[in-house]
Amino acid sequence: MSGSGGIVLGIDLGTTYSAVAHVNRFGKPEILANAEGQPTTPSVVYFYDQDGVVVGEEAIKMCVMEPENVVRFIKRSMGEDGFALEFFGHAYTPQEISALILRKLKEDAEALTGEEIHDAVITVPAYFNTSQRGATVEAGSIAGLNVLSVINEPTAAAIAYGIDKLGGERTLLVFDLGGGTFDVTVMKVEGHKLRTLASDGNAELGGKDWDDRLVNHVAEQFVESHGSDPRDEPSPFQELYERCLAAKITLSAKEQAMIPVNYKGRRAGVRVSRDEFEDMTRDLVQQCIETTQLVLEKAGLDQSEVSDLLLVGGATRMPMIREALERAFGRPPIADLNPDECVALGASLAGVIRYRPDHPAFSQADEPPPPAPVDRRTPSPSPAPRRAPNPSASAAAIGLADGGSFAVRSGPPSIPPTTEVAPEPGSDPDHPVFALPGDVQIEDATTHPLGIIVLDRNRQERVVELIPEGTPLPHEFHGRFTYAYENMRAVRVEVTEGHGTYRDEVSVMAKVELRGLPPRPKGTPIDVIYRYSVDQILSVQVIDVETGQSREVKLHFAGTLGDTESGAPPVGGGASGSLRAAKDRNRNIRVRG
Amino acid sequence: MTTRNLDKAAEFCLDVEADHLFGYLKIDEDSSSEDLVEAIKARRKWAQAQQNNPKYKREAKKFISAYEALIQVASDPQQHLEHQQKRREDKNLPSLQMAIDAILSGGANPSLEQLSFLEGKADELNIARETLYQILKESGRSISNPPSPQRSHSGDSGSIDHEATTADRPPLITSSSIIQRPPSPMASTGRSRTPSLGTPVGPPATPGPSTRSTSTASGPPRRHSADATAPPVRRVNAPNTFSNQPTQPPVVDAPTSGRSKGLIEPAGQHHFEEIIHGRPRTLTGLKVRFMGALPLDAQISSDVEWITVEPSAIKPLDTQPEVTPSGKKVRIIPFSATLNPSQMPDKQATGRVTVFNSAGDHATFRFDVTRTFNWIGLLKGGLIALVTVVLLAGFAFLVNEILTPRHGKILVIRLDPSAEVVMLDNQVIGSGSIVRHSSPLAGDRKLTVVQPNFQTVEKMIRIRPQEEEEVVVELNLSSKLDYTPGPDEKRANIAPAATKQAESAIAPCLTDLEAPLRGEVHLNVLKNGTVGSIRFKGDFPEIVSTCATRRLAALRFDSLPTGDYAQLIAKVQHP
Repeated sequence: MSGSGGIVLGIDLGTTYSAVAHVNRFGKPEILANAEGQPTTPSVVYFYDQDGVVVGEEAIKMCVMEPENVVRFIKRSMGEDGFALEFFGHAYTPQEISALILRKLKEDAEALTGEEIHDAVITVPAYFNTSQRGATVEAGSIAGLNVLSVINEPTAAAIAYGIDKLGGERTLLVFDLGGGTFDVTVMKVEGHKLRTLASDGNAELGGKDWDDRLVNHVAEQFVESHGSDPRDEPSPFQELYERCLAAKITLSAKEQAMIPVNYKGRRAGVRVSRDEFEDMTRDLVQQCIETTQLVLEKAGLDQSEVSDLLLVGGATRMPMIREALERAFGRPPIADLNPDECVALGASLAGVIRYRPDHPAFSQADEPPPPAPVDRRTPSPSPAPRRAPNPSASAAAIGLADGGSFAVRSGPPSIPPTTEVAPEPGSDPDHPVFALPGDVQIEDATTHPLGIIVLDRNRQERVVELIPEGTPLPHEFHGRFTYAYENMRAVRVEVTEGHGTYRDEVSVMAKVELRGLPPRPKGTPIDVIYRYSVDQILSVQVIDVETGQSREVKLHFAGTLGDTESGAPPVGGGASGSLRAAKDRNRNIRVRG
Repeated sequence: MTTRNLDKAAEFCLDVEADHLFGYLKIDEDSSSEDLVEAIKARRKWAQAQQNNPKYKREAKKFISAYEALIQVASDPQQHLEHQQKRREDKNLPSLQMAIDAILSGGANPSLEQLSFLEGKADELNIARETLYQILKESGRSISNPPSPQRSHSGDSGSIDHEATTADRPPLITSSSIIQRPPSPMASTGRSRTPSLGTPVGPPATPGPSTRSTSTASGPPRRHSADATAPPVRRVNAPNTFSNQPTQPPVVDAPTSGRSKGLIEPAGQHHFEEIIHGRPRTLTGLKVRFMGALPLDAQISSDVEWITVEPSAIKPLDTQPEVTPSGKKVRIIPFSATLNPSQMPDKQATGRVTVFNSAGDHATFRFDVTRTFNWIGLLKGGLIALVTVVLLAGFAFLVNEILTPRHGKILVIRLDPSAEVVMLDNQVIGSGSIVRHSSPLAGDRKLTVVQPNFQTVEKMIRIRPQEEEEVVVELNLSSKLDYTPGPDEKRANIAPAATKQAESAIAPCLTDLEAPLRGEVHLNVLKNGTVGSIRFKGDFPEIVSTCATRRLAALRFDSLPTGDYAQLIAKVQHP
């Protein structure tokens, strides 16, 4: 029904709420409700014993009673090495906890569709780094899912919005303010191509920060009148938080809200007006607007050149956000996109477009059969890269296993994506076919630069950026470097992520070594090739030019657990556990809603 | 336990502004490793419940991230405490060194006052005094009357004609102990406490000597004299003569009749006739001799409340071996008895101290004591005291009115930016951006301000008597701050807190800025923690870069434990 390979779930694993969608056989993406009948599931986990958890609304109810056994906002800790929470004698990493949420989503989807589900596309904030993306992939793997890819949330939202507007040319600005993260992405729709022009954000800014301001305000009022602070104890704090959350929602519809506080036998009712709430969070709104302006600058665009302003994430429901954007752009944002569901819908579409070429929705017409679909999972062979070596430049040096050398940078070529002819949609009035266009191209871009550690002329370590931020994917970079010392027999390439000039300022994602070389004279050339695919798999190839010896390693994203099943070395944090053990443990845990 | 875990625990303590884990967890520093582990586990539960609380989330997350390291560190709390102390010292040593260099710039040995100031500075910087003395020693300076930091107690115990049992030498007390400084902060770290000078340590305070007479045949009363080579001892906290009672076990009925079986006997004098003029007197060097072949337990007690003994029980190992003239090996038990006349029922009384062993044998000492009230002495003393007081008062008045220099009320010195050392007439009076000096000597005084990277300022200021004076000193940069690391110099890591420190220093320069600003400031930090170079990346208005340069140049980061320099980037974002 969903093409060979079964259903591909599109999963929006959110900080506060998660949603899951699939594309039905008619080509329409639809949200799959959970076992409780709700379109979204709170990303909250309650551990009630060592083998049992509750995920969702019921878990929220336990926040006040047993705050030490309830986990919320775990997405904010994804990718953090060494971070683990202990419940009933077991330590759980953020990806293991996220896996419990994903399992609930998966099992509820299977119950609804009546099919076993294996494949999924999971979305992440555009500003997530490699470690965070890797942890998300691991979470899916632990939950028993085959994660086909992770895509950026704004991209998924743009797909959900733009898919039926393909054929024209539009510029979309996706403003994604979720519970815990914030992204802004500018995308261009050109024919059947969706291209990311620029992206920026803050992985630690979200609706939660508005909640925290309100909690602090109310608590401080209580302290002033009664001298004690309900934030000092976990249960009273959770109660206060829930009440503030409710008040925040009220303030989106009404001009004021009353927040009752009850602590150590003392009671107070704190009245908060919408104006007061906006005053205390004005700087957060300002941050969002400035980031939006920055992204427009990066894309080289003006506000007036944005044709559609999309709001994604529940926090965009706050009137202050909409008003601020309206002031900045001179027009209101798009109103017909569900901010809570569009990401999951877009993810499911992306999954089908990329990984289900034989989905029924692609071939509904009575016209002659379209050409055989091309397997979009394998890019066509790339042309020879254009290199512009600059040997006379004051070159950066490469820091390698037993020394360093001077090196030369060369510019990255681009790989043209595959194209094909789109089939026409069918025309059965009883079963309207949305008929996905077969030639949709989704071109994402890097949100963090990738680089390499080298030694300069003074033998000081430096980071050289090889693939800048905002580079469209897929992308390939060829660089020529040289050995710094005489008689080097091995070479190590340290792949970095992030902005910075020195080792301390960036993350070292991976180290790729080429060993067993004959003694190499100083100054002999060595090539380093970075290939970054549309599925965000980075391949690093190191070639000794004169001998031809080379090593190529595909770096799959992984979190801190290591032991990726592909056998490839993990990218990201150091191994602090075992993926296999985490999967086994996950299987033994009962998950209910 | 690895250094990595100790460092991680140290970074956590720094983040939460705690001296050590005991302080953070609010448990006693003497707690066992198990107690510390339990406290950490309990705190983890709290942290898990509070990791989304805006008031505690930062602390809770840091705790959870550091948890494994903290558990490891808890297996050896002493090592953690020592590590914390060392880090505090390392961080503050450059400041202490600067103070030493400023005060002793002429290469002179420190005077008592200078030493006192340096000791206070060391205390303020949480540096052990031993470290200060070590630094002074290594710099080739000697200290006259070096204090013994290990122990001190007031006075000495009185002794009688036979050997004193006071094992300790009289303490070397400096003027600082007379001032009765509060206990050094060092006293709160770890189990090995370094008592401050002037705080009694060891056995309970024993009363000082008083005039006495004794009926022994040893001649006129002898006062115990201090070691002739030691400096004069001044008594601190003279005990209250009538109420100072060391704690004692209850009086035990000791057998006073019956003959000794010959296994235990007094060694030396055993009958004392004492005349006491009011103050308690301690007789030390009392001895009994064990004659038996087997070492036995013994108890010592008195039959009256006004005689107390120390110790009250003896184990065989506490005895001292002795060989009699006939070659027999015996064991000696020394003890002391304190006679407190204020508790005597009458002017004259007799009391006995008995030592009896577990074989039932005993030896008895008798004390016939007469309590007198020395009227003539009292009158003499009173008259002398009265005359002395009158003379002193007159002298003091004269000195105060004519000879004592006048003082100002307070001197406030405001520095821009802050200063490492501020001196008045070459005496260090403080550091920072505001220095307050109470009761400064009036007149024309020389003010000296020292700050690395800035030109030293020396100027004369006038302090008027009884007036408040305020001086503003603006420092000028002395160097171009253009340090570039050499090819052989090694780059070291620097703690993330340093970046925050730099960003905090820049923040006040942005308050009045209206236009938005985004950029970076790149710093090279030298080994001693001072700033070597500053580079601005971005469109910084001159007013901001000038302000930031001054504030950054005045910063002092932690000195680099390894490497020759470090680099950090402070991000600037306004608003």
